[in-house]
Amino acid sequence: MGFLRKLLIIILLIILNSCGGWIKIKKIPTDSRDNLMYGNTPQRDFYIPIEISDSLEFSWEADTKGSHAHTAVTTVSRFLFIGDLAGRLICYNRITGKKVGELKNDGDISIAPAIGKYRLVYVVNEFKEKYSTVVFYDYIVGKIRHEIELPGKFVNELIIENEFVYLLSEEGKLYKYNMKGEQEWMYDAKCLTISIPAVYKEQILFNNAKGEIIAVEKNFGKELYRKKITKSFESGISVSDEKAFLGDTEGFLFCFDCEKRDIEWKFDTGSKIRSLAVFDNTNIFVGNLNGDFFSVSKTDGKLNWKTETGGLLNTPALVFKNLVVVPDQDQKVYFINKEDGVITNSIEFGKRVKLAPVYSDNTLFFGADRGIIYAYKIIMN
Amino acid sequence: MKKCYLIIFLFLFESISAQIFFFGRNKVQYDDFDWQILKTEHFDVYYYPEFEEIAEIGAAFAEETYDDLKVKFNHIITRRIPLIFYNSHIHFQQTNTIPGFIPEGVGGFFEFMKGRVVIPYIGSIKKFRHVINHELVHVFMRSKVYNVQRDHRSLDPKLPPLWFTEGIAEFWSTKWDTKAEMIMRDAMINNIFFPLKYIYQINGTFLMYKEGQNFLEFVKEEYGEEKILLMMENFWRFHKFSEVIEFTLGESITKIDEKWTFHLKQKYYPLMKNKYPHHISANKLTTKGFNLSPRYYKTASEESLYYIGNVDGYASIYKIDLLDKDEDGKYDPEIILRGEKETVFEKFHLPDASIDINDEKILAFVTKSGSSDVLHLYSLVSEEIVNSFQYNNLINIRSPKFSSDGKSLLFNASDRKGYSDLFILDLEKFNLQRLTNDYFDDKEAIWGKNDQSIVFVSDRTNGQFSQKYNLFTYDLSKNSIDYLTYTGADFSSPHFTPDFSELYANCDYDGTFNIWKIEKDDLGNYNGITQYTHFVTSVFDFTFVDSSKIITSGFENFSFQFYLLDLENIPDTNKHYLAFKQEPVKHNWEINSLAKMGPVSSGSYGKSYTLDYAYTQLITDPLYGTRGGGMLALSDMMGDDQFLFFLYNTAQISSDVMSHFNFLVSRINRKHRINYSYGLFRYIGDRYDIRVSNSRYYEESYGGFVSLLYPLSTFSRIETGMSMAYSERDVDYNYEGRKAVLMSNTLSYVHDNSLWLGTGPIDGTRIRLLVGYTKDIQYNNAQYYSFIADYRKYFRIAERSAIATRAALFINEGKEARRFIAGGSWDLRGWRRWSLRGEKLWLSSVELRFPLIDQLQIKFPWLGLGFPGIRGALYFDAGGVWNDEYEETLGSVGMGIRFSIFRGFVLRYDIGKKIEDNFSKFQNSLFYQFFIGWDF
Repeated sequence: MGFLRKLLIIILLIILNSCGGWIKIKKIPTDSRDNLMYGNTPQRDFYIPIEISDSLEFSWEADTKGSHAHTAVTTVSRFLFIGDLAGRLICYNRITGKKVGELKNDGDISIAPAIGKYRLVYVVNEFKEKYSTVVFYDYIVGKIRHEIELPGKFVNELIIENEFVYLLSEEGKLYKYNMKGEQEWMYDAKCLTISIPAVYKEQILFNNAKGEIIAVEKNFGKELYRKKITKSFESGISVSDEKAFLGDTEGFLFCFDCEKRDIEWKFDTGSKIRSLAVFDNTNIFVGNLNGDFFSVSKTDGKLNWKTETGGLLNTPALVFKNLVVVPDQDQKVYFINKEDGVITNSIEFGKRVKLAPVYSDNTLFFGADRGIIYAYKIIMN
Repeated sequence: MKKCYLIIFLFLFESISAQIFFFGRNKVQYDDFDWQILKTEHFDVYYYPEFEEIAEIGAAFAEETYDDLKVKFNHIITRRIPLIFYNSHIHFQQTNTIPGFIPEGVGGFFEFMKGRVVIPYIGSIKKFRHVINHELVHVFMRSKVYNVQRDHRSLDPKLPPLWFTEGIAEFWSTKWDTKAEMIMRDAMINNIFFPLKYIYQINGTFLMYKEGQNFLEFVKEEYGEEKILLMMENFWRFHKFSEVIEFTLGESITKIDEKWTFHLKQKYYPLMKNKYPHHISANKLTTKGFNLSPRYYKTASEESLYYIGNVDGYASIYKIDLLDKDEDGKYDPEIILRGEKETVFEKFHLPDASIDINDEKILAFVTKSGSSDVLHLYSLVSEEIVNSFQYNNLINIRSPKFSSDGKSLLFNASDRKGYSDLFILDLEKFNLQRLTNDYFDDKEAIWGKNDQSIVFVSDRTNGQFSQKYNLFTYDLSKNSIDYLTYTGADFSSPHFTPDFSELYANCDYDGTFNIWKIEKDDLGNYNGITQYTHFVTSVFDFTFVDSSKIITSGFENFSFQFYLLDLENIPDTNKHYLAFKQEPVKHNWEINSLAKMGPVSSGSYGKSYTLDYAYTQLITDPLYGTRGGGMLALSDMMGDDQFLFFLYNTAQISSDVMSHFNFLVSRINRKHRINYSYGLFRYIGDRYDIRVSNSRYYEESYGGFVSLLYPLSTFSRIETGMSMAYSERDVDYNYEGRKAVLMSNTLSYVHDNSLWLGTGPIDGTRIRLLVGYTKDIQYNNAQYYSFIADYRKYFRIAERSAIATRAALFINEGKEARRFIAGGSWDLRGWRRWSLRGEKLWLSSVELRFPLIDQLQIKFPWLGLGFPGIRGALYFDAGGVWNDEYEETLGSVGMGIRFSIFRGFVLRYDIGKKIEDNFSKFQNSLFYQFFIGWDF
């Protein structure tokens, strides 16, 4: 075969390989519900009320050939979705790890895609542009339904609830869209906001770099209150019952009473908190950038235990009945005994761990540089 | 294939030569470092045994900084970071981790090839910590930005601009301090401030560092410190960094610049209400260059000022005759002792340098000479060095001070442990007495009244003002040290009045260094300080003319000039008194030991070689076809030992592939004073070498080479080389071929103390002498002698002008002697480049070099272009080329312009007339010649 023909075939193969098939998922059982958004629920619930073993069996590994931000995968039925920093949204078979399809964009996807009824919603921070694009993708038909340009950058996780999606930009603009791609309202906090918003009853709560906690009413976008409680926040909010938990840049973990609209207690972790505080029924768990991981009583903020990892904890942990699974950017994931804070096991990835761990069907999903997703089956005792 | 051959040729004969192949200065390895390695959690710390204590302290600082920076950057460095510590700047200058020379002002660096951080210790624990912090910010920033780009699959390997890189390194490693304040005040008040839009014009300068730092301070205040990390995290999003800033801060760059400039004006302009420029409140005595360490000297017949200055690019000792003013009231400085042109006065260590002079007109000063500093005593009467002192265990020496009776000399010096301590040299018995011996930075010592005590500056301050530089006294009878001042400010340059009744010093209590008097109570105890001067920028040193008049070295308009002022003229309302309120804490501060930093291990340094760079290349051209190859360079962590591998294939048809591999393997070792290299090579294929033939020919050649380089000093060296090669050549398509086993030996002497401007040398001398002998020891097909003498001297006629002269003779005499080539912009201008070829060549040039256009700006509506530093030349060239019989003398006259592109290469354009017909007539027309390359 002549040289030119060989070259042409190689070029064609490259082009074909780089063009992923679009994501098309024919049927998702209507009563199936998995990790439809970051933290599974609008309250950012990272608690799985089951006991697990710290013994794992490697299941599969998928190379997205991209890189992750500090976000998480979302899963529904047997599908797993992840965005990467090269602008691709990729769908994998959650059981086998085989790629189902991908969508390409020119920018980055820093936050977890959210899954609603027939719609996959994600945001692309556009390359060379000062705006981002919200994409409403119909995964049944395999077609983009709406693309909406919004100014600024989106690094704050989405909320999807009752067929509405809430988006919070880094510039402090909170949007509500319906699944038809129509804007319901927009609220502008006019402040740098690196936050993971959460829902409390009819409110969207978020914090900002001015150290404020802001509550916006869900239906009409009216500001209910805006209260400065510390110097600055760069983490997010998780809500349990009437309490919101949030960590600040000085290292303080706050318990905020959403009814009284006031701080109930605060706990000093000693170093900046960037990750979400997670909870179970009785305790709060949070890590800071100094690599210290804490268990603190939900009711009064008293320290249960502290574990020093020496790493960099900027992604939330996953809480089970007996263990806490803690991702450390310094290349490891720890399994910590919830009672005493002792590390019972760890997985050494040899790369920066970026994604928050996600649990689905007895499988834990992790993500590390560059764009590798790992699935580990839990070996039950 | 010329390129391949050129590379091999370069490695054969110039594999270990200095910075510029034919000439160049030398990086001399005076010391044989016995490297050790200390492994902490994140760092591999390299040091040598005598320096162990400070190295451990540095390792502890590094670990603390790592924990701090991982939080600031929200980022982890996953590889181990090599830290290389030297116990002094003189040792640091010997490092082979980077190829170039390291100027005095460089406090450390982070190099990208192996990710090494290399830092000298300069006597101060606090400054050491600052530099470690600074360089580690670079490490984190680079890793962060690299990962951001790689995560976003950006193929553009760019970094943020230098002002941001250095600005953030300062911003996140230290607080805004006196030096930074002084620089920014000077920039704003004297209109040398460059907003972001034009900051590229001060690229690489200290002003750029401080403007970068200041801009980030402004961003923190105006927009929030979190925006700074966001700039790095948004770095992938836009091609231009200005767009990244705009996007992150949410405003246009013009608006941000305006806000920043206004912020600085608001801060600094009000200072002029109560503070004064030096030239307003004092009489300016000098106008050019950097002038430091003034020392007043008076006799019945003389009233002079001696000092160290750098006006023309070489730091030297100058004198101003204060009784001799010109009609404009200006003084004409005279060079007493020229520095930095010869080994004995190799470096003056500006701006730390200082001198002293005694009643017998003996001048004491310090220069680097060889492996360490030397303390010189120079007679101003006989104009000669009367004594010099160099100590094996003292590396840096500073601040010599004669006792009142002239029999002793006080100074501070740093030893091999890195300790900066005080010493007294008995000038009669030549005994050396050490007064302090600890890691506190003791310096700038002066004699007290009757030479019974010493006042010095030290960072041994403890308690509330820990590590601040206060004044201390040393009682020579009791060998005890006491606080003299105790404040939260830094002091420097203490001086008694001539009658020792009062003590003055520089102090930065009001934000910049000004002159303060140390006040005594009725019992004679020092109890406070009174501010006398209120300069808006710093005083660096001063000398008393009489009990109230002083001459200061003041920083203004980015230079150091002398000013005369009378302290008695300062009204009392301007003198602000500050009492010492606290009782000093007696015991000294301590450093956290490494034991608290977690698990460590240590051991001897074992060489392991890692990749420096690798590249591959595929070339295709109509003459030689397609060829390909690659090159690989490996070196050890210290950069002392380098291996080069070069592989290339010149086959024209597939059956020739195996037989047509070209390679070069060489090793270059620079660890010791004698640098050596050796290697093997093979070349086969077509080549075009006009030193052999006017047409291309086919050659196969293989062999080996050895070369040695011995630097006699920074300025001179001996080189020798030997090569043995089998050569089978088919010149001029003589199909019988020419075989030879060539043995070639060369011996060279090189001297270079030239000073360069942007386009070439402007002062100094460059010499190369070479003798060589080449013989075919097998077939007798070649045998020739080589002789090269190239002498270039540059006569400085003004600050940026010189008459450059050159005389060169090149001879190859014998069988199959190679030809030399001439013609073109580098030698005989006007003649076609390399068109003149012969076994003998002589060249001579005289060229007047001068600044032509300092700044040319062309502004289009959409774009502005700036061309700084365009230089001009008027020249005369002459030369001749011949083989057996001398043919004719050729020449040219003309003028030209030169322009340096970012100091990387020089564009040259010449116009003139050739001198033809054996130097008998000018060509009828003009020639126009464009090329690139430095001036000779």
